Amino acid sequence: MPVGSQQLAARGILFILITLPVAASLIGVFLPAIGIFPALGGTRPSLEPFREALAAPGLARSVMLTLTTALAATALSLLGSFAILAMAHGTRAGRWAGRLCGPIIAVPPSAVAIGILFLLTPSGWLMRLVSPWLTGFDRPPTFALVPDPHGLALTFALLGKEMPFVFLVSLAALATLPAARLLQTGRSLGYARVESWIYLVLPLVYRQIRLPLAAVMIFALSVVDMPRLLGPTLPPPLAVLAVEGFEHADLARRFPATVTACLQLVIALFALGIWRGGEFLTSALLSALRRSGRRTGRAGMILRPVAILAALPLLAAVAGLVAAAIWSLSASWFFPAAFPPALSLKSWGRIDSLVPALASSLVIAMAASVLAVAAVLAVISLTRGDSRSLLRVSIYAPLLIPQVSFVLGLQMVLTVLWLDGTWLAMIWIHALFITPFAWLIIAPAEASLDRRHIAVAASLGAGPSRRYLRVVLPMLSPAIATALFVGVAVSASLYLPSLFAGGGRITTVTLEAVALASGGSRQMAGVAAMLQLVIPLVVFMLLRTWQTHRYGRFAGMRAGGLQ
Amino acid sequence: MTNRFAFTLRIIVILGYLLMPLQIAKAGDFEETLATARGQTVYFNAWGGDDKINDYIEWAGDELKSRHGITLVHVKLADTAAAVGRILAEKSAGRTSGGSVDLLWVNGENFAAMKRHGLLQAEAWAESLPSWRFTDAAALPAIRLDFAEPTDGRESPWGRAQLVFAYDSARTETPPRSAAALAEFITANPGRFTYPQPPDFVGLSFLKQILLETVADTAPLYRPVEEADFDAVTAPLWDWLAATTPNLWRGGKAYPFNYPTLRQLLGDGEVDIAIAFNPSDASAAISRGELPASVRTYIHDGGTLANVHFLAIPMNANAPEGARVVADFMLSPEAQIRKADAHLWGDPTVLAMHRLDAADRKAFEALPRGVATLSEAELGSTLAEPHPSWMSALETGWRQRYGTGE
Repeated sequence: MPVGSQQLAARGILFILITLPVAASLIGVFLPAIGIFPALGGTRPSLEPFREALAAPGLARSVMLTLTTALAATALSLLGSFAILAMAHGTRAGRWAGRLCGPIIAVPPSAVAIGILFLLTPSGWLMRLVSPWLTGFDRPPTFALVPDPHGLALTFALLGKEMPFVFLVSLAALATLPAARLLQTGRSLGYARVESWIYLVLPLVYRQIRLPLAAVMIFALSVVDMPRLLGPTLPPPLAVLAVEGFEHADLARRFPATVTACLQLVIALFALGIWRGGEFLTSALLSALRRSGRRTGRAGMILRPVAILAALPLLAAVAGLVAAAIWSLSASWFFPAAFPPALSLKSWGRIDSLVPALASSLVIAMAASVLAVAAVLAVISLTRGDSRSLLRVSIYAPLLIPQVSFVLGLQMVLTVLWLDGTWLAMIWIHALFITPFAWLIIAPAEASLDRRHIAVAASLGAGPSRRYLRVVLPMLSPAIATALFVGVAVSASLYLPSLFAGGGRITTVTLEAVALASGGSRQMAGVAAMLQLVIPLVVFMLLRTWQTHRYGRFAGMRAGGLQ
Repeated sequence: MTNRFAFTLRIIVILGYLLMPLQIAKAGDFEETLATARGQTVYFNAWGGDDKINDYIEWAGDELKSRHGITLVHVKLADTAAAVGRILAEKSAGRTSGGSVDLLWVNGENFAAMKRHGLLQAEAWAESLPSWRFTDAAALPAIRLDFAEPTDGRESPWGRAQLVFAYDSARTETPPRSAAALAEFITANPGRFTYPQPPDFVGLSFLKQILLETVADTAPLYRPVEEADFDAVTAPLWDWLAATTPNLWRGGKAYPFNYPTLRQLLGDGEVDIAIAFNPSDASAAISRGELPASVRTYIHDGGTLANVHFLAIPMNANAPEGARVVADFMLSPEAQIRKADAHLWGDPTVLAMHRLDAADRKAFEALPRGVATLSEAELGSTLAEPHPSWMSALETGWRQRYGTGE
């Protein structure tokens, strides 16, 4: 076979592997939305599901809530990350923030929500710490911070979960830029340090993290377990509304639920549109400021409090985790005790029966992450110089589709192919969800590679494959390590897709943990959170050790690496 | 070509009819089922949120392995709907055998929906199980009527449930034992009562409980909702809610999303009363350290909702014979005694005491009850579940009135 057709075949296979489940799931959502679902007796197109879905009380508020929380969480994650970056980059606090962020990414969203809930409720940890000696409360007061009807608690929790991700990808982007030189230029032109960051460095960083931000926004739009715990619930965001339909005992509710899922897709696109508008305005504002030539030196005064405030959700996420750890070890812990009066290992008693699940999770997470990274590297090589290729665009597709609605069609494809309940299906589906994240991390690093190294290798007589293996891959290895870690973390957060692809034949820690936590025991939820954390954290530490050990002595090899 | 196809089809159908009595006779022959079941793996999809229940299922698995050579795999679910969704997807994909679910823990609306959409084994198998002889459908009609929906032998009873309320006796002296008393309690203790947000199952059950207690005539509730004047019948419930909602926890602007979350609120002291659909839930939570030891349970004087939960076999089960053997074992006196033991699980039995031999009866009587669990006599007064169609209608009604938090 000539090389050209081989490449074409490879592109085709990759394209099918990525888009088949996505297309199937889209069809699986769209057909029921117009009333077609033969297994439920829907054989003719109908507008009834639309009418039913649109008649849901408070739908408009659901939509508004979904939009505002997602936009606010994304914008504030960006603002907070940039503020910390501009104020603290290169300082000890900045390094600490970087170190903190890696592990926080691995924390499952439900654990962040449970943690923040436990901090902020009237019976929560903060109140326990000051009761009854300061407040006089020997039982929790009836006023409440959470759940709140405006989604503030939800936004706060989303920040705790998403800002670390935005911060890390910003750091990775920053590592590919000549930041020091840019800052020097700014200083020499008479701009204060923070102003130089705002005018010169951050816009360049931003350009590289636009896609990760889109991913953050889609996550915020489609997350279910966080709003369920933190509110608002009357009405809930669209994602929760759709899940309720899919979980409803009345199977006919699946018809309007698919319409809600489609609506969520439209809202996601709309939100991205609004974001684009915001980008436009911001860049206009920045240019105007730049052109005005004013050097106030006061930007730092605004950004410093922002950076300090931005640390709050991070600290809350960490405190929530600490609380979860304490809960998992507590015999009982009632208001107003600031700490559990007695500790016990009882909740950890069943851990031995979870060893098989831990092992299969590790296998799935590693295999899927490696596959996803391989797929990304292949796509990069296959589509060089063709940034608008269909294959590249298709990688983002799994990101855009809310998980709940995704799984129905997915399950049908797997069933038709007799693949449900197989390791192959499990790893394929996990890899599918990981691929966009791997792309977001590896593609920018690849684009910023110093191609002169490759040219040098070529002039020394290295062939294409040798150049790739000995020069390109090692130079990309920090980004690959990050991608592997994020992949493992993503894999550890997949509940519904694992449940459906595994068909009950293959169990993962996440499946076990979510089932355990459904009993409503904070002790068990604590254990579950720790369990979900263990694999990504171990992988994180292994990768970081390997990275410092192998490449730590090379300067300029840290682009996109783990902190 | 088409003709020949039609002809073949007809022959198959006729043969099918001829063979049908044979098949039913076969189902009656449990020895044969046992023989076929040997070596099968049964994927039992059941809620996995309780360690005690998980341990119990593990025990059953060990017994089934050594006695009948069946491997029982507990697929732990956070929500039954997920398994129903999987069966549905399999049916949509045309998989009529070799399905991923062999046995499903189910009841009420889920069962009704599965029955309506043809997701269950077509055959009536439950009453041909050897252990069926220990039950008495005349004494406990709910083993044949799942939320007023006839089971038609398509699911086998496993355990009983009843709506009970839990309170902290160290804080509340006399809990309110009727809908009317509860309304007064809520007014007197603003912010200290709530219920799980519909469509949560326990939340809707609470609404049904209030409805059953406040309507003058409960008869329409046991017929399909379409046959009743919904607004007129349910008016007392909406009046009750209108009077109490402003004084609910968070002013009725937020609700816990399920009953375990509500139980946490009782443990935290945020609310005074929790609701569960399991008489031993509070005892189990005390032993896990989630509720203070002073928590006790009670029911309303007029009785509370009671129902039975079941084991069902999906239409495309891969090991239907093995699944039947499991269902039979779960219904045996030995397994039911163990299940009713509060230290091991504490789920009330579906067996009829007068159908058991003396030794088994004694074993049941000697069982320990949890510290907060009511006695069988105290749980005595029950209310039958309304027709399942009321569930959806009540949910819609509630959503229209309270679904937007205004």
